[in-house]
Amino acid sequence: MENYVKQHCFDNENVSRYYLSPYVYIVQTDEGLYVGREDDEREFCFYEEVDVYIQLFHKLSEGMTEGEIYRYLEEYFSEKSNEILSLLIGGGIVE
Amino acid sequence: MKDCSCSYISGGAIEGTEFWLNDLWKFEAGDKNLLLDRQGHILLLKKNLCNTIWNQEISEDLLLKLLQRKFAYESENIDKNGTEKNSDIKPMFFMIDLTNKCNMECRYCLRNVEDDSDKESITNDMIDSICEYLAQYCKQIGDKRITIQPWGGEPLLETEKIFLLQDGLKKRGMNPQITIETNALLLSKGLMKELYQRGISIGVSIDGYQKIHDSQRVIHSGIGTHQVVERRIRSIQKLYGNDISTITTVTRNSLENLEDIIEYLAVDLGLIYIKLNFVHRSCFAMNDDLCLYAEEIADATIRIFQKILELHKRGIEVYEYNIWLKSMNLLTGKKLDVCNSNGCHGGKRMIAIDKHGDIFPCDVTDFPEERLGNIKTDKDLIALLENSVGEKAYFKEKKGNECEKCPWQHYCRGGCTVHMKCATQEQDVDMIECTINRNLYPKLISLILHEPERMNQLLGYEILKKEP
Repeated sequence: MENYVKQHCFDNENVSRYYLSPYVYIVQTDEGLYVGREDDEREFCFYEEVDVYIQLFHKLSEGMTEGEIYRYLEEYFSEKSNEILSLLIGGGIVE
Repeated sequence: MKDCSCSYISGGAIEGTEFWLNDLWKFEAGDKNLLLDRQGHILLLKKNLCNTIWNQEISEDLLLKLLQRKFAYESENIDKNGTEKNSDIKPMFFMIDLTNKCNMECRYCLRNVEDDSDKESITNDMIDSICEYLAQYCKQIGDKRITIQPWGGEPLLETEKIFLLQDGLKKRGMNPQITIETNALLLSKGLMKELYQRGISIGVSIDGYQKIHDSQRVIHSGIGTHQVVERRIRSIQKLYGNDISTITTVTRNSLENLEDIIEYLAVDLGLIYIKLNFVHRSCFAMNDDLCLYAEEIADATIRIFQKILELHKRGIEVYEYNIWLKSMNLLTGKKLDVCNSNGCHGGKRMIAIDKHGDIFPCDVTDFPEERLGNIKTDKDLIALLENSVGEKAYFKEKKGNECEKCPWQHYCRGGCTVHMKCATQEQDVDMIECTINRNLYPKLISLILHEPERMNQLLGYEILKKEP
């Protein structure tokens, strides 16, 4: 179980930051990393750079700005960063 | 522990935006609010931020949080109540009814162990057929992450069948989690070692210290089993460490001494994972005298909760499964349990298969009217279940007059179908589960708002950030 998801209490300071949703499930198998939300039918599977995503989720459990997330993704995925960020936010993995 | 206030707020347009807010409950304590919607989502907000939702000052950042947490929608026409979709039908938990034979005669047994005419165990051929069926099912859904619970009677009366099941699945490229619940009488050191080496999890039934346990968990001669069970638990701990769980049935016998029972389990036995279940009426054993009234269940629920908190305060690590689970329901929405996460998932996320290959929605294999199909004739399990959901009485929606306004309806959904089946009076909902939820969830929310560190202790990890 992913023991790093958190329920944050939002205030005027942190409401603008992005966090790993407390409603995600993250399952690592031999095939890849399955990520989804408990209340959503969609599930995403990341087959490559699994460790990169896991590290990102750990960071997101404490909160990141949009810029910080983008810079992190750009380091590993360059032109695909926007697409991945949209996927994570649109999919409710990142709130 | 202080309570918190609760108000119900009907959904409506969010002023100044084109978005709509769901119906929700707002819990308030100090400078914090907890919002809860009908789909079981929560959102923790500082009060001054929360108030912006209703005074036309909502920021884009907060609006995004509300949208992503599904508190808000773009259109008023979206289904806000989160009615269950048929796509939720995907069993991942399988009870395999190996036998209805048992080497004990517990006073509240839910099984029909008296029926000698059908007292035989599952055959090796049927085990093989079940393995093939499960392998094909996993191939169909593209997911092998299933859990199997060999069940009884006493499952260790058929240990070889458990190993046959595991080996049969392995042969077919599967390695599911296997977990057994046992009375532990047959758990020799050799067997324990083999279960451990095979990675099979063990849950042991123990109803408390000797006086309580032996008043209701006896062998056929009426002799108590506590001494043996306690010895077995200590042996299991030497091998499995803390990775053993226990199940304790709370009855009228245990009511007066509930705190002592928990103290015994957590301190004397040093158990970390315990589960206390309230007895419910059995259709087979004469156990009405052991069953509790709703007020007694309400009171006992709070006492269990407070005892666990007290143990944590004393530095004793212990997790009561039902409290842990309901806390997880609130904080993560994870459907960790097929019974108590958001209503009964019998026939949807779990099924049982009996020794004839008959398929049942859950552990109702002694009730022929609950049969859904058979593994030999119903190869497409999901299609079978989808048809059954629309037709069988088992799946009828459970809702009482008070459910619509109940904040816990999402987590409860009327409770356990089996509890209701065996109740003396006809019920709209499972009154045991309803009573537990109405009493426990408000306490859990109070803990989240007033003492988040203690909620973290209940769960065993820091899910709520420490206040600066």
